[in-house]
Amino acid sequence: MNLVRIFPTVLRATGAIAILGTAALVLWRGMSLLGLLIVGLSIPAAWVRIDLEPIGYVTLAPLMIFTGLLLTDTSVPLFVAGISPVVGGFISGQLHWDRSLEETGGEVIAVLAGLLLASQVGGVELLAPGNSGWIAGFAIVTVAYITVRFILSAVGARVLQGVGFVTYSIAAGKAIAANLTLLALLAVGMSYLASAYGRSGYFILALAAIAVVEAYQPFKLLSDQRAVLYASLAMVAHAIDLKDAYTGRHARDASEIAVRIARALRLPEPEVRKIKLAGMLHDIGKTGVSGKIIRKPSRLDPEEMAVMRRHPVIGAEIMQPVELLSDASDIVRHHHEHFDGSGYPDGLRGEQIPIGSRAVLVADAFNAITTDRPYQKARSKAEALEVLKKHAGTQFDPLVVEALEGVIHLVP
Amino acid sequence: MVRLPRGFQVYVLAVIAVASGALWVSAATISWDRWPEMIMFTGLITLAAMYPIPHPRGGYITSTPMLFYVLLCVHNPQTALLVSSVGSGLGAVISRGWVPWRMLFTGAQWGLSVGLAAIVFQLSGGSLKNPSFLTFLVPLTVASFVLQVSNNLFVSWFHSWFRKTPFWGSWIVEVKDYLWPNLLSVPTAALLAMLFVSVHPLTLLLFIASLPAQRWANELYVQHRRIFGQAIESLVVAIDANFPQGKGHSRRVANLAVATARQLGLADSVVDGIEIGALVHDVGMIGLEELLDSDDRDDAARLLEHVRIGAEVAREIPRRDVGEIVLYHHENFDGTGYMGLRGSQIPIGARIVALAESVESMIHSGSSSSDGSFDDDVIKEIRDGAGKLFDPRVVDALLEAAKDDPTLWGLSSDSPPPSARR
Repeated sequence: MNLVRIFPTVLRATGAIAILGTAALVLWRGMSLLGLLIVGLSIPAAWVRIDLEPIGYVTLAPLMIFTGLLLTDTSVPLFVAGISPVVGGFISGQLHWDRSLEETGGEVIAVLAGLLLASQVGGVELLAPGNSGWIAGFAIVTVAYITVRFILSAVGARVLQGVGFVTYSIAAGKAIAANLTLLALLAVGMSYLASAYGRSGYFILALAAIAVVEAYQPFKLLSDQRAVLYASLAMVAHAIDLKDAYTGRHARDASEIAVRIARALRLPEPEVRKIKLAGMLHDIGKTGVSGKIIRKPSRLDPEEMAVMRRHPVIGAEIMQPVELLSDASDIVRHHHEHFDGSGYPDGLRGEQIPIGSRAVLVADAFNAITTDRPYQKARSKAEALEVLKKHAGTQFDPLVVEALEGVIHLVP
Repeated sequence: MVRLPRGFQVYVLAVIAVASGALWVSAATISWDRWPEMIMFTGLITLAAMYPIPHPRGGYITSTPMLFYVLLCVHNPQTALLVSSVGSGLGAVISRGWVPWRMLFTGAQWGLSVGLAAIVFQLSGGSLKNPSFLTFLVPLTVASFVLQVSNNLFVSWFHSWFRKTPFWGSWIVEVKDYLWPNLLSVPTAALLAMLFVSVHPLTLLLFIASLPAQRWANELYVQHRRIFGQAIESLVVAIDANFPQGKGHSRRVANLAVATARQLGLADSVVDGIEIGALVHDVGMIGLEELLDSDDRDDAARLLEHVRIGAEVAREIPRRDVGEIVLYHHENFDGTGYMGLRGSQIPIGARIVALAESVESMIHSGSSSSDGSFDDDVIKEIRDGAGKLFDPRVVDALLEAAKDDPTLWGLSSDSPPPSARR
């Protein structure tokens, strides 16, 4: 499906054009002192970037966009929309040009949509507070902006991550819409104060922007720490893989495939999160198994086999006492159960096996076949799928294999 | 009630007496005509004092200081004294039970701190008449600093009696620890004070509304940080299992590295990175046994490959410094190491971990004549290596740190995981 490529490319191109275009617009029109202040305040605002589950983000840049819409001419909010993702990435030290350009594209399209709609209805000049009709004008722009942002991120989630529209709306989509609405209301209050108190109004504006940044800061801390936590789990999984013949990103890829399968099966989002963790850490129990057994190319003798077969149980035992991971420990325990009951450790069959375990088993096998292993070369995705289909109903759940087939173009 | 030391009793009674005296003297100047505001402030302070929020750095904080700042901007010092002491006293009773002396002490010490800060605010020309940077924000910042220092003083003195902690040391540590969070809360307080005066006193309720959300975020943050620590620790166990010197090696190296980094005066975030990097510096050695018993290439090349693999694993964490430590901790200062980096080309964290690891193995595996302790032979060996193997500045820092804290050489490995410490 080409949408996977087209959608981000279009956003990025728009973003690149927007950065240059808005910079040119500002150079041409010049900027007032107030405009400069708003652009300056958008730097700390853009620094507060909160990543949402399963995908999407909230920043405070819209606060300055809305304030700019109310207090200055349109070049300032457009400029803020154009530069804030890049500035935010730059000052937090994690500038990814691709992502920043995509976000720039989204922001600018949304602001432009708002301005266009407002100019169709009644003209943008009405916006400054105090002028008659400014509420209506501002409401139109904001509603259009929020709607476009919401739709763009929902489409992004659908196209890039396979998250359904409804699932997205009740998770990240809801948070995006609610926060943008809150920021719009705050911007109204800030603009009112700034225009009501003359010179000291600028002072109030700066204080208010910093106060909002401070109020959001715990959520940024949380979001950053969550990223570090997931990264550290990935590191643990990666390190455990070193006991095996070195396969690079196996744990991470297996987790991603399992998540794709889970989304294709339309599992609820909390279940998907568990599967993501379990997919990553499914082999963590191998810490307790000697590397000699794990890497042995020939058949294992019964004793070695018994040791090897304990790794799902050990893994579940490691995860059980850790909050956040304990939910996923069941999936790890059963990730070697076969659909016909011939697996281990408990010999469960069919529906008795947690759906997460069935997904992780298929993802693990698929990734193993499509990467180089000491005992065989990597095979193509199509070949791997043939193998999985051959064992569907005995080893694998046919529904899960079918789900994987549906998203085969999306998996690594 | 437990018998408390006499000195402690005198201290508590003195604080209460001073506060009551101050109240008695100022009774006439309290602005009773603004009683509804005073009641609102008292209620909000009580509420905030009952509602502790986990602090990202550990422990709990309350948001009462924010309310105190607004209070001292909009009321005279005498009124601020009364309202803050009643509010925090009530908060202490409701959240921690009916212990009369503790209630009185808590109220008295907050009242005195707030009153003092309010006087400083007025003396330094703070006013809400025509607020600007110099006539409002600067005085408020100074006042907030005074309030914090005063409160830290009362609390450290209290603890020095109660928990037998050294008074001066803990006072300075507290002042340093809370300085930034406190200063960062000033803009919000300033805004709330301006809204209070120019819009309506009830705008203060906005602030209370944000508390539950902040508490939720902070609680989750602390939880995530704890699990992060657990994940790293479990990895450390797996890493240490690959080594003959085994259990505790990585943790001991990390402790030495952290002490050295602190001695060098590096920033907290850098020290954090060095601790993580030191803990996982040997992550590439997981699975090394296979290489050692089934390969015919030379050892150095194999080890180098594992250092590379280790760095790749460590790069999963989105911090460049951690990956660099893993990659470069075998470099020598004079450029004779695995990859031939020299001097300041080697990241500082890697230089520190290189030294810490050598010291740890000298002491622990008995490669020098020493037997599990830090003696002159080890010092001599490190000194000889300065400038060749090790960065001389780092060597000095490590020896200096060891002088300050001789227990470091006990090289105990049962120190808490990174998450548990501040």
